Amino acid sequence: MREPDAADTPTHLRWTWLAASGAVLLGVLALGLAVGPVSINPARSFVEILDHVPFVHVHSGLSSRDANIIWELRFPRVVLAALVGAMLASSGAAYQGVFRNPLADPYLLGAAAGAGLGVTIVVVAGHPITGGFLDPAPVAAFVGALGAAVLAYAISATSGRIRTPATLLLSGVAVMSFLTAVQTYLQQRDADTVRTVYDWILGRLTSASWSDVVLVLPYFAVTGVVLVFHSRALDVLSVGDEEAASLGVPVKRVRLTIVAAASLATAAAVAVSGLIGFVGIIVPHTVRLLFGTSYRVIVPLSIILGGAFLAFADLLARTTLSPAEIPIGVVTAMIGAPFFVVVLRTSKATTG
Amino acid sequence: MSERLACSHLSVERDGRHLLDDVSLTVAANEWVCVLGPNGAGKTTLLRALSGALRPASGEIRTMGSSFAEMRARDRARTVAIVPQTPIIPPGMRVLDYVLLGRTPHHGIFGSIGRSDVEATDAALDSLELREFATRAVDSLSGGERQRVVIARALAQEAPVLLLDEPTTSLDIGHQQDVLDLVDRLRHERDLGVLSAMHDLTLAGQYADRLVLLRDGRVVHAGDPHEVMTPENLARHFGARVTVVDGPYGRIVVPVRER
Repeated sequence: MREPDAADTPTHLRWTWLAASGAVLLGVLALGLAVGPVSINPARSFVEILDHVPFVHVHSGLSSRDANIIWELRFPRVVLAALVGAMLASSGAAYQGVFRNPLADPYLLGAAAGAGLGVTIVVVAGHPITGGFLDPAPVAAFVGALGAAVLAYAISATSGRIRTPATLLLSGVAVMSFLTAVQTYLQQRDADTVRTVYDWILGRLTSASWSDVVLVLPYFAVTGVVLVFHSRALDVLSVGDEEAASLGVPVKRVRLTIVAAASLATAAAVAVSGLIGFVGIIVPHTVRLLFGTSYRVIVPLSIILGGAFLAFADLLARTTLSPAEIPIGVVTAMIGAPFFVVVLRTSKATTG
Repeated sequence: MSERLACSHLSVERDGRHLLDDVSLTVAANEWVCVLGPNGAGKTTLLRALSGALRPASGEIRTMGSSFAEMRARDRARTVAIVPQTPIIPPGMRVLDYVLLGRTPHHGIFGSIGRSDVEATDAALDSLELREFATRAVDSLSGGERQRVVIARALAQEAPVLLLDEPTTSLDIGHQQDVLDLVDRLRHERDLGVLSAMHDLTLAGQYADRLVLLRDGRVVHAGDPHEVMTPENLARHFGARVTVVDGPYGRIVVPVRER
């Protein structure tokens, strides 16, 4: 038996890919810390962050004003952007796998709009969006996201015999339009909260704080672990429910778990950052193009590179028109919409 | 003879209609049984039920001495592998990764892929002479190559029972013979019990050890090809006008025009 060469082994996550993606993420985070209206020495910024690690005491030499900018403004913001990007990208990958549809995305499926409606209801009902472990906002967002994703899928699954990737998308657009309309109605009806809701919809990364990071961190951890553990299941689901079942996969249970985890990630991301589209399309497809079609590669690398992508998009959002800021959703849509057209043109019709 | 797969009094219903009605059959080790029948007779339904995809309304399925109803889905998948009639090929998936999917019942959905999984995949690729295609995308292959890849996935499953649903559909005549010769070789090499649904009567008559003729979900004839494949039976159940000739390896069915 001859020794198979590297390309001759099944697609799997290589340490070099992980390391390279991690390096990209760290690079973007460092850039995000260094760039801003006030220029601060990047090396000293790094030391300042080290100083906050428990049991580490080092002196960065930054003035207390600069130290505050790094620790209270920029660092939570880049971390939050990375967490939100990671959750949106991994849930996009998961939706694409579980629905066997290259165009599925938390935004286009209506899941993000459902989460948005959930949060709006909470705000209109008089709860401020604060941090906290069991804040009502992410819970309401989760219910909305899961409901919308299931609804979009149910509509497409029961509409006609010929199904293309566009069918799910069109149902998603219908669900999204309806939920957005309800959400806008609620938002406009209540003059006191219109400003809060509006700011939040366009992306709340502007006012990111450690409490937001603390709010999403558990959701990020749980959904990340669940999705990574189900990445092999996503590979198997790609041959369809019946064949997956003949390979011994409990299809219904696995599908529900994955949709729930992806919707939870979407909901947590929306709850802290508003509606940011296309991350779930851009990142997984780029990973697929670069590293292969196995979800054992796509899910973990989408988490890392999704973080890098959104942290970078946020950097563009706050520097391009500085001192003014562009809403981050505008940045991702400007990159994402053309990208989406490319995916649409190259994806094939699937049946079943 | 050791029994690999058996069903007794199997019935499958949908919308109050019997798709399968009181079907009983057995497949032994190293035996090839062919299911024949006109369109809509229930051939695919039978294979789906035997692969665990459909829950029967009544009756029992046993494989390797255990009852299906008492087995976990994963254990069933370790004993019965199916090659579907029109498998779904994930866009862009490489041959190697596709064949590896057959290992799912062994490593489990959360399990990591181990040495034995890679070895079984390699063995299946070598056995079907697919080495040169290993890193190609499945959807870029020709129909005959693709069918071999799907069979390789079933082989990687290392199940003692192999179900094939119309394995020669959409292949030209040369590739049809290649695929059936391949299955014939594999069942001897691996001592498999093979059950296939077939459309082509002549091919079925030459490759199968035994035939089961289904009509309207019921077994109307079963046994040796010489007993089952008679002009009278084919006229009655297929509405076909044929002459049957005995060839060196079994029965050859020739359609004859009637004036």
